[in-house]
Amino acid sequence: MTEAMHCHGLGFDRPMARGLKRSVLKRIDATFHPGRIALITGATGAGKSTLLHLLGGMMRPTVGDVRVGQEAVSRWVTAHRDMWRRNVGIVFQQPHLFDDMTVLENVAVPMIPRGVRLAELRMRALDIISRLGLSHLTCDRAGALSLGECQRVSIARALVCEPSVLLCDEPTAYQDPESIALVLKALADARDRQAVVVVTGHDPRLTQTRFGDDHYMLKRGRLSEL
Amino acid sequence: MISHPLSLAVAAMDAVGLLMILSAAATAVQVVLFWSPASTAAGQIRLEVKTESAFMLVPWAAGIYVMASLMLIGLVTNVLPHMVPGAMCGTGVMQATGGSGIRAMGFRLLVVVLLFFWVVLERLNHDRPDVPITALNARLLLISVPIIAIAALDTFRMFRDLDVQTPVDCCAAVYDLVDASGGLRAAGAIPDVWWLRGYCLLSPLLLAAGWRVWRRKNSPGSTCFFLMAGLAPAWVLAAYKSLIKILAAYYYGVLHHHCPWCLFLPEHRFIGFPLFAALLVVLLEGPGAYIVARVARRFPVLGPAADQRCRTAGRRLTMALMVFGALSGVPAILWRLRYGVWMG
Repeated sequence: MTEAMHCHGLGFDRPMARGLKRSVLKRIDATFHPGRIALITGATGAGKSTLLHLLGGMMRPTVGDVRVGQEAVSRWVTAHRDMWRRNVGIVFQQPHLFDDMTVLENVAVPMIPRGVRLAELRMRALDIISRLGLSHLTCDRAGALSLGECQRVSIARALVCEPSVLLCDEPTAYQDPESIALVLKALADARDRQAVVVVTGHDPRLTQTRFGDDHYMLKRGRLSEL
Repeated sequence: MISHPLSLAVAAMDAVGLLMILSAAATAVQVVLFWSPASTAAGQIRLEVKTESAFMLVPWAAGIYVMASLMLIGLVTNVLPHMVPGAMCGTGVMQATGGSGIRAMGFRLLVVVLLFFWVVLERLNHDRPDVPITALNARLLLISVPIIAIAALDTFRMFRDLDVQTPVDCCAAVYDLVDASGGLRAAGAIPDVWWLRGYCLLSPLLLAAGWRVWRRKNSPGSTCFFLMAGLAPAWVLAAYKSLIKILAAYYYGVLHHHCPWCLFLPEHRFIGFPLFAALLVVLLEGPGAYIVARVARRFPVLGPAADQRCRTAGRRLTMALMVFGALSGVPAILWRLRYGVWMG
């Protein structure tokens, strides 16, 4: 069973020019529970993406830690942290796809280091592609897609391995209303699988539809529950 | 001082290795003073990041050091004898260094042992994501630093003190160990045959201990590891003495040529390298398994990884014993089969 993710005194200072530092996140204490969607909103530049990167283990916090159960995963040595990150699905603000690979290949990439067999790999990739309404683009090169389509491919890539932690940075960016419904359905399915789902964004289509089970606001580096 | 390219390469590699170790040691000092894994303060997190990258240098430094040592042995045995008048092998070269060569070799061996133990413990440490024995490894690294510095310095002194003008007498250095009554050793020393008996007695014991550690179903407890740790150095000494005093004669084809360095020459097919490599493996893996087992007793979370490492040590020790036994014993057996007698 997935365990809750806790932030204990989490802080992050971003280095600036001339040795100065800017405090992006200040002493964040929060718990993200499995089987619930945590929606984090805030102004542009508030630090939402930074928080997601810390939760996903892509950056180390300056102070404090991120714990899953009793394990301080943010402080693990690199090799163990890399293995832990295989449990995490991340949707970035920018899709970061391989332009020369097809949609199917892009979605299948995370399964390769997990040793998934080819037949199952193809089946799971096609399943998640169809659930996100991308079946007609399966064999298209990612470089030829629109931003909205790329973002959905990125979501499919994050979900294909059924991660126990799903982190989404502006998943509804560039999406039309029909596509948003598919995206939100996919996130809800992840929640129903008892994954920890953390979504950041300031899209009113998220905040006004009461999509999240827990709603947080990130302002001036501090996280407060609404 | 000689300036042969190989000697310069050895000195340069020693210097690079030492710099890498010193860089890691600077972080090790901070670990010893300030390490506090329960704390989430910024200083502790910075130290953890710094330690992770600093300690990556040490295995590389160890690798460079081992390569430099191999290069040095090749230099001493196959290159420098041509430069030192009267030298036919490493014995003459060591003579020409006036004692600093033997000291350098001794310290280099000690460095290899210490760095091996450090690398083994650090790999054990990294089996757990919370790296529980980081502070212990930092202390071990700091203990190694002066030894590494002395070894590098002594190696440099060896090159500096090497006298390529004054002739040496390799054979006199070896055969002077033989007294006038023809083949007898100096009074008070252990008879050669006793070394061979010791080797023959200890070999099956150590082989059994190594086999048991390697192939056991359940944990053997401390006895097997203690046996391995205790027997390994004794076996290495007995095996070395037996090799030099008796068994090497079957490679040389002559009696009383008690020279370890000639085994590294091309006319003996460089057999010294695998023979002494096998000795080194036993010397390292025997006590190494014991150290790992003791650390695991103190840090039970490392139990499964320690168990696996000990099995590996048992396997390597067993293989090394068998390799040494074959390489040292087969020529003697072939001689016996061919001539019907043992040499001497």
